[in-house]
Amino acid sequence: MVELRVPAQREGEAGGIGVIKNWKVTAWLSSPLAGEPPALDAILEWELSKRLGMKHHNKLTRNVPLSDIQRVPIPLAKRTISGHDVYACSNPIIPEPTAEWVDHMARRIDTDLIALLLAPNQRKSLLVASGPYKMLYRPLRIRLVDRVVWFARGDKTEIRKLLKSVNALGSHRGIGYGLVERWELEETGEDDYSIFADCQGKPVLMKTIPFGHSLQNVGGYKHSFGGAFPPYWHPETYMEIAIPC
Amino acid sequence: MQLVKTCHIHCFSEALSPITHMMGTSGNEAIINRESVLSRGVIRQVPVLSGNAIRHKMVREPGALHLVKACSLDGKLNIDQANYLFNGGSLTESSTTENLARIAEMQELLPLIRLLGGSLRNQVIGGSLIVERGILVCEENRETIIKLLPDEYSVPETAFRPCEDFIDQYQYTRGDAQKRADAKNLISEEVQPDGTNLMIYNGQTVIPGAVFYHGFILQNISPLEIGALLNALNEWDALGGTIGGQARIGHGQLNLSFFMEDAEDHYGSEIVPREIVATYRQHVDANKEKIIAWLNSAFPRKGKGKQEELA
Repeated sequence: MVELRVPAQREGEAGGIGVIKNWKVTAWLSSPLAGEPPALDAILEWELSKRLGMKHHNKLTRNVPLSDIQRVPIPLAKRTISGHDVYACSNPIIPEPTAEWVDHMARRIDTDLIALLLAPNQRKSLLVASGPYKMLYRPLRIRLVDRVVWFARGDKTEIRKLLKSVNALGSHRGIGYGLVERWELEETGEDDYSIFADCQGKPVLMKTIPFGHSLQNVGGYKHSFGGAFPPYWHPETYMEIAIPC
Repeated sequence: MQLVKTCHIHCFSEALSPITHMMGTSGNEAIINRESVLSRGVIRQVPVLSGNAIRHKMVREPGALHLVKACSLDGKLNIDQANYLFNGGSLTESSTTENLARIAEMQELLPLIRLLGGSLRNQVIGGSLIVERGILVCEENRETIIKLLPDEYSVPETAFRPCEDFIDQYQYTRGDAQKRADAKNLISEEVQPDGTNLMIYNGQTVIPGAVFYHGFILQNISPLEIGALLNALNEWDALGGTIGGQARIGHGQLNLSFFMEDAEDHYGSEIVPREIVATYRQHVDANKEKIIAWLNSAFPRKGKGKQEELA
């Protein structure tokens, strides 16, 4: 498969579908956030591949090689760092939570309801302490934050088009957590905070990037192992990385 | 399949009886489910109905019961089929292959499951429904409710009272057969009483008359899925329309009203709830045999009696 690219996504290339600028992207939330907020490039890839009707929007598994799938051209600029192309967008930034608590998600088979619905030869003792019918009372980390912010370099119109149908962020969106009230894009002028930001004259890392020479003189990161570009969870993207901290 | 844009259904549910949707106990007292809300710079603990409870009690369970009834599956399901319909199923086998034909068939035959998602034995299939949590219409949630409602709708100012105004207590007693006047006639003398069963139990409730705001966001769906959701809400209402615990003694009754935002189909025609519910029910009736065949192929019986599948 050939990787798709939109010409204007490359820094310095003329023409294309829009104007590449620096943006502060804010998702204003109307319900608490469960789990961790996602990376902006991951959201955009997910949304675009879903719209393009591509199989892998929900069927890409750890077992499917990335070379077998077609990557979608999201409207963010790319930078080559330590030999890898990464999108110019910072990791998600959230304010200090106003409140933080543990909610629980319960799941159990309603045996009193289904007993008579089962065929007589299926009515047998059911193990609910483990296995497929295990009852759950799973703890969820919930944080009360009013927004999630990313700094990105890309095409505002196309980013906005993709984000307008992203209704929720984080884990357990299906049960009402992380609902997005509105998306906001503000231009940050010449200040590009998508990968590095200036802190008292010293660059600090804003995005998870491959570990390498580009980190000389950079502060605010820890050395780790994982993905530096989407799909972040796929083992083929795992490498030595630097994570902002 | 006609696609519509994302549809948002807004609901107001008025408590007709005490609501006891609990989060645990403190000593001997059951505590109502609450969450932190920032109101005018102060954090308050405000009662909330969890999205998980609404999703199951209002949509999945009544929707599955309707499918079972419509397809005459009473007393014929196997445990995996029941688990899939009523709880969303479990991943029990390796997921090295994806059977797209099976997923496509399911999405065509079972709009309710396409909406809710679920797990076959070897593949997880995402849904397209976001169920919002039920937030109490009160002073602390004023800003959130105003933000969530479309501009043309509003809530009367008098409804925004402090949340503690909506909290009350209940107390009941569990009886003890030994204390009955006719206990000597009922209980054998050979049985030695082992303590007493008499117990007082109590807890917090949200009072009748309180209103919860909640909603359903349906992403990239066809009218059939909206029909499946509204049909499930109808079925839930017909079954008593309860949420939370203690429904056996009359708690948890809700009176749900709703309105739809962006309820247009692909061609700009307005979607009429009654019509799309009827269309969904016709769809299920017309595809009974195929639905049964699909359930059999997705969840064949294991071991003995494998040949006895849904007739």
